Amino acid sequence: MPLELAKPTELAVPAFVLFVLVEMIYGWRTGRAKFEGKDALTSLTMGLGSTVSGALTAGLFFVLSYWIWENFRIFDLGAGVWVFVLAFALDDFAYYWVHRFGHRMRWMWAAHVIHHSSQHYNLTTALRQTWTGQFTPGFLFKVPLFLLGIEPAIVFFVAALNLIYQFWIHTEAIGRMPRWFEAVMNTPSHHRVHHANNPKYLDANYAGVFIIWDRMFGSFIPEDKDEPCRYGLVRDLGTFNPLRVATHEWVGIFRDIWRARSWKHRALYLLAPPGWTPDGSRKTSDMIRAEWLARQGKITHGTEEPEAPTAPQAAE
Amino acid sequence: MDPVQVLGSLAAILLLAFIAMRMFPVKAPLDDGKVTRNLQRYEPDAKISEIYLTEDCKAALIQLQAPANALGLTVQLGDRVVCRVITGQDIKRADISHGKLVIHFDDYTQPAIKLAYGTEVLPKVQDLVNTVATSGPTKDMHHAA
Repeated sequence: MPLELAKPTELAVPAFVLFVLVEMIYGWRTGRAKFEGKDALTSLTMGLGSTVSGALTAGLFFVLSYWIWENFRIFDLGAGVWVFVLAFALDDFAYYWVHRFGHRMRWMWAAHVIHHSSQHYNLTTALRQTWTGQFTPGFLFKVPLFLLGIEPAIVFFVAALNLIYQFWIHTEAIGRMPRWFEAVMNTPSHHRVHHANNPKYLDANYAGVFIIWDRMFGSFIPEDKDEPCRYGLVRDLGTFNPLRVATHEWVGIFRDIWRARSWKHRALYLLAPPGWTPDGSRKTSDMIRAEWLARQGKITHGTEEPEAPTAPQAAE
Repeated sequence: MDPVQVLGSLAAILLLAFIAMRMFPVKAPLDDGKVTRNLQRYEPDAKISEIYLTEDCKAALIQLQAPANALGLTVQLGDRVVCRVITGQDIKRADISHGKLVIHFDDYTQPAIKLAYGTEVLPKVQDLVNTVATSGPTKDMHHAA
């Protein structure tokens, strides 16, 4: 009999609404948080759509998870408090890798890109979630937890807590947290960098709750006050239509695979980083950063006149 | 899923979006400076020759010296700006409809755009678009991630 636990995200929905409202009022009074009606509508609609699409396939993943846990687990860890604590830490570690692959493999990016498609960064952005995560291999990253012997209900419970934690870090209203907190935990400052499309900040800070994973695996970049974050994609979407937002990268993948000339290229259109093409005619984040670094080098070494002002403009 | 919760969420979404719209009205339209800054942020190597702002200042076509055989497009989407560097292969067709230039793109998130220009400017921008549309394929400026 599966363990029956509360569904934290459902309980948190009223608080999400309240905090969005609080951030709006704060932003309206101070100018430290920015919203736009259509953008907010799209983000929130994506959030509701994500809940509905997740519910449609939740049963399948629930059964599959329990099948793995019941048949292949190495230990039986039970359901003590320490198991919840361990599960929370391990699930966050798994999240780090899911998220990292979500940016580095186009198949997984096709689902995750939705979350990055707003040019705003506020609490509604936190709710701009994918409708198609179940069509990616993201589930595989949780399998080691079931094999270890953590009951799936506990894994789903702590994953929901992880998601709730990440809500509050999607804001410009909070500058920096105390130093010790910034060192260990994911914060608004760290996550702003993650959502920024400045070449300097691309593909950084994948953490869910604990920023230590980024520090350990070399993907941490601190927010630089001289490099204000601009949010969105390196090629922003020209629409607020939720259906197009939800499916645009999938459409791009299908088009590329359809036109590809070899099976190797078809596979790489799915598995290589976003922006990969056989002839290098599009740009991956690595290429964008390399071009930016080359440009910085030219400016530093005086072979090119720096443009004034050199500090990047915030997205307008 | 509980239908009541879905309906309640829908109501909250509409309410929050309405409040956001009222509290944060979109004010500043595009001008030449904003177009230039945003296009150069998007494509630092772009060299602008001329900017053609639409009459409502919500979009601009940009004649470019570089990259060759390409055209800049800057569109105000909400209070933010979306930029493209367009080559011939990105343009499906361009027509004049009800006095507006309508460009159809091979772009899933921006399939078409209507640009309102005065009668003096319209033939110029139409020529500009046609020139790029009929030019050979050049570097695909699309990038992802």
